Amino acid sequence: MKRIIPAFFIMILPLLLYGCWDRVEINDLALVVGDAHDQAELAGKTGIETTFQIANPAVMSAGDSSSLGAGAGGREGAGSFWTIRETGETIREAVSKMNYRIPKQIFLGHERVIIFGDKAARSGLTPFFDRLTRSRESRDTKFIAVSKGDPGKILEQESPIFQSTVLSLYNIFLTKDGWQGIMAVNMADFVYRLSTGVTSPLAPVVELVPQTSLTPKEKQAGNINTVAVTGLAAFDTDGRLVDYLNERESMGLLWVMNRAKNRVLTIPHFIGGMEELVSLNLVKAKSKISVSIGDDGLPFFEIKTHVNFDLLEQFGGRREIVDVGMISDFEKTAGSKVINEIEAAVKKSQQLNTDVFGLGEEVRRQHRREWPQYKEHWKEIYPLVNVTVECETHIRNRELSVGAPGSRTEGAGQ
Amino acid sequence: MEPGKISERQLALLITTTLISTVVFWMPQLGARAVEQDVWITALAATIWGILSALVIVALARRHPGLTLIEYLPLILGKPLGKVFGGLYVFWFLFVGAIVIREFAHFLNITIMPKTPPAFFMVTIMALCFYALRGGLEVWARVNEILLFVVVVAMVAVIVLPYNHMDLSRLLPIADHPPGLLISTSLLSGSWRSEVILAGMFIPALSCFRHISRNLIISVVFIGFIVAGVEISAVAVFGGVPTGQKEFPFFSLARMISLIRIFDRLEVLLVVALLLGTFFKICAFLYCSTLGVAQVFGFKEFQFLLLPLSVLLLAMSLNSFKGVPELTDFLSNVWPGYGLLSFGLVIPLLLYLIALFRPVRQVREP
Amino acid sequence: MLHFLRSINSKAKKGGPSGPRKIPPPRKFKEISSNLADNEAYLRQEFANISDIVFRRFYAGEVKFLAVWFDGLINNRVSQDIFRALMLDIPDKRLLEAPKEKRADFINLRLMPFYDTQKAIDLEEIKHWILASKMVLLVDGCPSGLMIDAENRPQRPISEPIVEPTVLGPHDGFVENIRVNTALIRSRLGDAMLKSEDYIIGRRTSTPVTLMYVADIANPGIIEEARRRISRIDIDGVLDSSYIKEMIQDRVFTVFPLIKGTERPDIVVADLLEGRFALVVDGSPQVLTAPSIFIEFLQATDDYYINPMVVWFIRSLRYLAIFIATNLVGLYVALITYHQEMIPIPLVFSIAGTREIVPFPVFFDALFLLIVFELLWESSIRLPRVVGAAINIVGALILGEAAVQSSLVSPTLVIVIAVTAVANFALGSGYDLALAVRIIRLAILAAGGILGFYGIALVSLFFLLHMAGLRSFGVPYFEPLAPLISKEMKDTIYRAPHWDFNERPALIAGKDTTRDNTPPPAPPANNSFFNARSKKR
Repeated sequence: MKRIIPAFFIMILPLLLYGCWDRVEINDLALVVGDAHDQAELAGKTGIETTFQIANPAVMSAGDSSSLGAGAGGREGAGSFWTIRETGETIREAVSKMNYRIPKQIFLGHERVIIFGDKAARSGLTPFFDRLTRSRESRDTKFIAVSKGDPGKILEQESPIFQSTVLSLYNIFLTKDGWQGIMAVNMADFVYRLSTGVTSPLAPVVELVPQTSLTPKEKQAGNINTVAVTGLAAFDTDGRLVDYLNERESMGLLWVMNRAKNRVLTIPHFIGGMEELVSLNLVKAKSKISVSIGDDGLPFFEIKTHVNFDLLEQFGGRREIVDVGMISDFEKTAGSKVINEIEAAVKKSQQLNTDVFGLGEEVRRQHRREWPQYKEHWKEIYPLVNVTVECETHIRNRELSVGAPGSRTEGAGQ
Repeated sequence: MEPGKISERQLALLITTTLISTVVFWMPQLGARAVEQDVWITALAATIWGILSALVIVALARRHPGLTLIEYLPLILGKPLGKVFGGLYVFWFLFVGAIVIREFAHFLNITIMPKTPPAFFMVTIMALCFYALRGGLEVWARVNEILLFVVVVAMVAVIVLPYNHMDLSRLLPIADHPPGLLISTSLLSGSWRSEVILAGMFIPALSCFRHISRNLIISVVFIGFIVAGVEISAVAVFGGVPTGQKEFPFFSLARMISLIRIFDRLEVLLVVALLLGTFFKICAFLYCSTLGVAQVFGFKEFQFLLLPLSVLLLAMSLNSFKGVPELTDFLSNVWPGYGLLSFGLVIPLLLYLIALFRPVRQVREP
Repeated sequence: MLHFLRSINSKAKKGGPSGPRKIPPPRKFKEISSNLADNEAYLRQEFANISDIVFRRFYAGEVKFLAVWFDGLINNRVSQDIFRALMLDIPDKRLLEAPKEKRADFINLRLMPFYDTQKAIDLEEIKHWILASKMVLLVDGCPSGLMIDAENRPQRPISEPIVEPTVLGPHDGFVENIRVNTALIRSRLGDAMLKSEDYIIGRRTSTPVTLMYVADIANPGIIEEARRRISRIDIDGVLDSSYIKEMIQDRVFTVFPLIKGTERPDIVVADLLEGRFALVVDGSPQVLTAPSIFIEFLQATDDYYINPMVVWFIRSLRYLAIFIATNLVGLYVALITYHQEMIPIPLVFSIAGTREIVPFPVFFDALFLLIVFELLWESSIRLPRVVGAAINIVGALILGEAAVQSSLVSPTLVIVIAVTAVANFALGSGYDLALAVRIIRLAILAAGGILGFYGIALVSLFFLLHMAGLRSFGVPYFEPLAPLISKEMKDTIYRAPHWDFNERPALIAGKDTTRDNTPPPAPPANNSFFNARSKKR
């Protein structure tokens, strides 16, 4: 045994000398934070065009390029990111072509958002997902978005506050999922919906929009655009984009999918023939879809939504909110508004024949014996099914004031 | 033959590590490919096979106190046939050990170190196993005892922490697949569970022999819950079909963990946990094959066989499969027949039945 | 106990505590001659060319005496007392009362106003007593001599332990004198079952070593093994207890300390009460206790003197500290060079950004900083106190700050190394362990730099396996974690309240296993005793 141990070390140590196969210094990595993919014409064939936004970490971390950026890595005054665009027949091929121009190893482990162009989305996203799910560097938590225009433009845009548009989008998706009409969709979600073969995948739409206000510096730099989330895109079951949902429809969708988290709902209210506006804030919303099989053999759906609101603002209010009857008026109006939104979304989805609510899945879960007979024809059935919507709303609090300044209790001040 | 003594708890924990460490690589994928969202039912159902295996092996050990599986085979089947079956069992230990090493190398290769040749992982882990076994059964059984805690904590963390991505409705409808399919899939899951017969080689080294069947059953059931937990969590996060499309759903699950921006990217925890678990699994198989070879050939010692058998095991694993597709093909098609339906449950069961009808021979083989 | 302490003090005033009354077996035997001149000649020849020996001839009445001792090792006042007694105070007649051959006995029993003497009839033995810092008295016409224990070696006063200071608890520490050290132990553990056995080790140094154990607690097998291992030792000199430690430990090639050395008497007594034995070596303030287990080195004395709820937290902190001290640098290097995708999102840009301008691979940066830290550690031990402050400034400020400024290393790495260094000294009482951690850290750093997390896992596993295989006097070193003994988990991360320490460690203690029968504190629920008193008022 005494001889075995040295022999053993003699065997192992040379192996260690060969080690370090996977070693790469972090400063030799080009950290890709976001990528954009679109369809492109490639010598007669359709190929893809990929744009990467790559971080310049020295600037990204320091916030300015004064001290740390000026070393071996970066150039004086370099931006916080740079972009590169390349075409190829597959994504991997396009990426491999980039190597001729990038001085560092492309590293996709820190991608945060992936943006697909309209053209690519319309021709089907399924082929794009293979790279994203197969790569060990890519993880399923990254967010997916669709751009109406050239997705690369979004990556090339400088963001007014954040170090890059991708980081700003990432933050929007991370913190504002379920606010207004924003829905963050990560890859696992998208792939799951795609895998059902029934439910339509969704993805948020991002666009470059003009900034509403400009600082002198931005004016000078001509940096007048910023990135914004502007709705949802509905796909068919094969991952082809069908159409975009507008804000109202997106909001309706969020109610049903139990994804609404923060929402300001403004409703009109008439007092003595005069209109005043009341803004309500969502506290908690819960929807339930129940399926029953109708006499005609088609399933019909009842969507029951329960929403709790807080009263947030009474704009131009002339009367204090002390009357319980008035609050139940608010509740009624708010409820009908929610129903309107949901119905609009249902209508649009039936029109597009995209089962974005996962109604088919609901049938499968609730009536699994009958489901096989619908499954094959779900595409034909879906536009015909009946959906009824009910909504119950409650207003709990009116925050810190009872009435707007200058408002009167009914009868008191007359 | 084994000079060291281990406690019943140590044995149960050793068996737990052995059974848990590689099934979680593959079963979520292979199971979900067959029965989609119902995969967790098969994990629980497989517990039955595991319990059967455990009961049979303990019953056999009770009839032949102080003898290992290889030693009482000739007593039950007669010397020539017994030796042949002993040899087959030794080969089974070696071959399954080789598969485990291969799985381990590929897992590391795919998940964290793609450029490092798999042979390197195999050699290094084998060297460490050799070192551990040279220290004696007592020592590595002891270390296993504390490290299993780490392994289980890591696994439970990975099962629970992606809760913010879970949608339990993806598990519905429950038991949507025909019972026949569920049972045949549970045979696959049960094949790993039937590795519990390794206990047959360790039982003579026990310092006391009272609750061993209870302990083994607890460990098999516990593993059932862990595997089912992994599968429930994976299906709730990814959905049934995508789970089956991932190479290592458990690993992908760990990558989904993202909580308050700090508990993020914890997959390394899982990789290290599985690495530790697999290490002890390899140790267990190497130990059993070494002891088995010594007993088949009637050697008085077995320590001197350690080095040649480590090298043999290494060679077998280097030459066993070309890559992961071949490996998963073997696992999904051949493994149930090679594991549960022969060496894992059926042969021990037959042995027990034969032993029931044959008079117990107290004479020990020379 | 107070009384006992006082008695030690009074002894210290008079004669000073002395070493053990045992000498190595004489190699040859030479009878003491009745003729004093012969004896003197022999001794002078034996101690030829030694300048610091004193041969004092004197007469008490008409009887010739010879006193021999090494200058400086004998308490002057005591020796003067002896001379005074013999030369001035005793009437001549009394001396002549006894027959010539019995004079030594007679003096010993009646005339020696001193507490510790011993008769010897062998000149070789006499010689050894002289060498063992004793005073020797030979009488003319008598074939026996007297050893008088008036030892007063130069020694340090009892002071606060230097390596193991504490906030709460006793503040006395061992010194270099074996008799003081055994007295410190004995004064705390006044039990007749506390046995002590003397050994003389070192062919030339003849260092006294005392083995102490509580006979009805310690495992007799372990004590027997300790005796066997001690008696195997054959060395020319023992300068510190660590010599003995290395010669009696179970495994030689290990970085882990297998035998605990401590400067604190309270730790030694606690260990004795758990069934361990203690080895007190003359000339060393470090008393060895064994069998030792790994987690002992993560315990500090304070743990037993402060609130157990707090100890829970402090101990977990220490377990965290040993993880950080061994692994953090390696993990950082592995993360930066192998597993970049596992860096949490908020950290990746800041780490990558600070690394951007550093020219060297992070592995070498880490190694460089680590070696600088080790150098600082080493130099701060070796340097004279006065220069120490200067080195601290150079090390802490200039090296750290300037290295970052010149972009030799990244600031993140400096933080990592600093945390590691701090954690290295938060390990409880085990300075030995802090030394072991240095080596483990380097191994893990190398593994992390070569193989990433895989390498770290491999090396950690190796150390765990190694540690689980170690034994200290037959006791598994990693007990009670491996083997897992749930009954003995009362003193690991969680320290049970003292009333709950019911049993001594089963693998260490032998016979008397019950430590504590105190019921848990249970004040009456309604506080009736208090109410009764307040009613009276």
